[in-house]
Amino acid sequence: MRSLRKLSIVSGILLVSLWVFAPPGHAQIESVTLKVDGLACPFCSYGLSKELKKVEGIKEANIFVDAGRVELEVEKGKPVDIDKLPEAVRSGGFTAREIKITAVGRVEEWNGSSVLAVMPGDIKFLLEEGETLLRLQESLRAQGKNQLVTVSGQIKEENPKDHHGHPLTLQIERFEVK
Amino acid sequence: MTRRSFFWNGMLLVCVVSLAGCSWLREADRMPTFRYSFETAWGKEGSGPGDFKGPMGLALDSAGHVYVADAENGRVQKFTGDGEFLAEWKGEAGENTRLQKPVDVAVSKDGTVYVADFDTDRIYRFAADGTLLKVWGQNGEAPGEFRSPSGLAVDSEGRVYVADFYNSRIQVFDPEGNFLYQMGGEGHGDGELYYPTDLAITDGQDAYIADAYNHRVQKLTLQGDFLDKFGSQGTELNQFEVPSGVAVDQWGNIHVADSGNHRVQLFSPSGELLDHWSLEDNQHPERNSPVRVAVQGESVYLTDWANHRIIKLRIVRSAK
Repeated sequence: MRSLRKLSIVSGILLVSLWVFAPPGHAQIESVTLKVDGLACPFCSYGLSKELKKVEGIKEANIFVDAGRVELEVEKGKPVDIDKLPEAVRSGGFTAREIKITAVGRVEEWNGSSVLAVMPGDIKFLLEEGETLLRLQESLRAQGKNQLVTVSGQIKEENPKDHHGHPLTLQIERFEVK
Repeated sequence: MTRRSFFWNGMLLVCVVSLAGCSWLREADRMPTFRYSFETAWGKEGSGPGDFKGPMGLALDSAGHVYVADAENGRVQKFTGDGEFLAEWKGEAGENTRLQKPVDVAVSKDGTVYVADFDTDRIYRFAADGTLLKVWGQNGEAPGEFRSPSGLAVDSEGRVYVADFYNSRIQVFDPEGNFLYQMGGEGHGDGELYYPTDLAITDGQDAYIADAYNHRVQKLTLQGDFLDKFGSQGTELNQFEVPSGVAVDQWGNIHVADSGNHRVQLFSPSGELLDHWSLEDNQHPERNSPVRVAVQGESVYLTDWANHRIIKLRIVRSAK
């Protein structure tokens, strides 16, 4: 009987942990792709890969030299320090022409704007206003505001000095309401 | 002028010209020419024995074995001089002892093999049989620390020279890995370096340094004093685009892996261009290659990083 109670307490703790660290629907950053020029030199592309792997939540950086593309493998269930990516690219001696992400999260209101809130890590992306955002909001109104939504788009890099912890802006290219 | 004196003056002129010509020919005979000749190539993309994924540095031991830093496979492979696979070394299991991204290899006179690991910021020292003897280094800018060690050389006394890529310097160690001194430092002036990738030590105990992002080769004393430099950025002969590998042969000639121009250039000790050889059948012209060069006797080996293979050339030496 006592062991059954212990089991139920442990199970309860486990369930709460799962809810906290991996909320239902697995809201998270699913993929990150960078476009970078000048990967022809092995020392530079290896240096970039090394810098990117230092960013929290990045497991592997797969560099496609001929295409000038870097695909980042994300550690499942761990927060990705997305703010650090542009800085990591610069530390590797490059400038990212484009940072694209695919993330699953919920659309919330933040300081009068719409943001995509992604767990874990409580990462927020400011959703760029425009026709695509209007269509997304319309879909959410039709299917339920708390629905998980998958958004793919390009991160608009700001001057890091102006960034100061504000969410990075995400230009929506595609979305899917779950 | 009489007809007779005209004849004798003419004869004298012919003799002078002939003597000068003979003398010039004898001089030319004493100046041999050197040219590259393709011999063989081996390897393909993969992870099996003899395959490569991003082959980078290479070195030869006194028996002519070829050691290749197979960067993206995290191993060093050992071959005969003609490319027959002999062994692979990965270090030992463990976070601090396993090779991750080896980018260069050097062999000392006694057969000790040193490997530079770009990702772990460490130098690995192996016995000739592949036993891991020592590992040193960590990420940083202090003496004895590295920010991506990219190239290695060992001098006749066994001192180990490490091209420390992001720190733009050469660090010198004793065979046990104790820091001795450093040379270079970031800059574009004489004796300064900008992302060096490789170095070679001459019999005369000078160093040629692949000063890759200054697009030149510098000659320094082993204490770091500037002696000479050649090359500038460009695609013409005598110019370089990221010269990332350098080697010196038995005649004192300097071989430069001009990676961004997809060729190797050969220079005399005084810096005169002797020959060049451009990459054939290049499947990936967007990638810098060949990245390294090693020489033993008349054999020249190149690592073709882009096409995952080793290329063997021969130096053909002949009188003019």
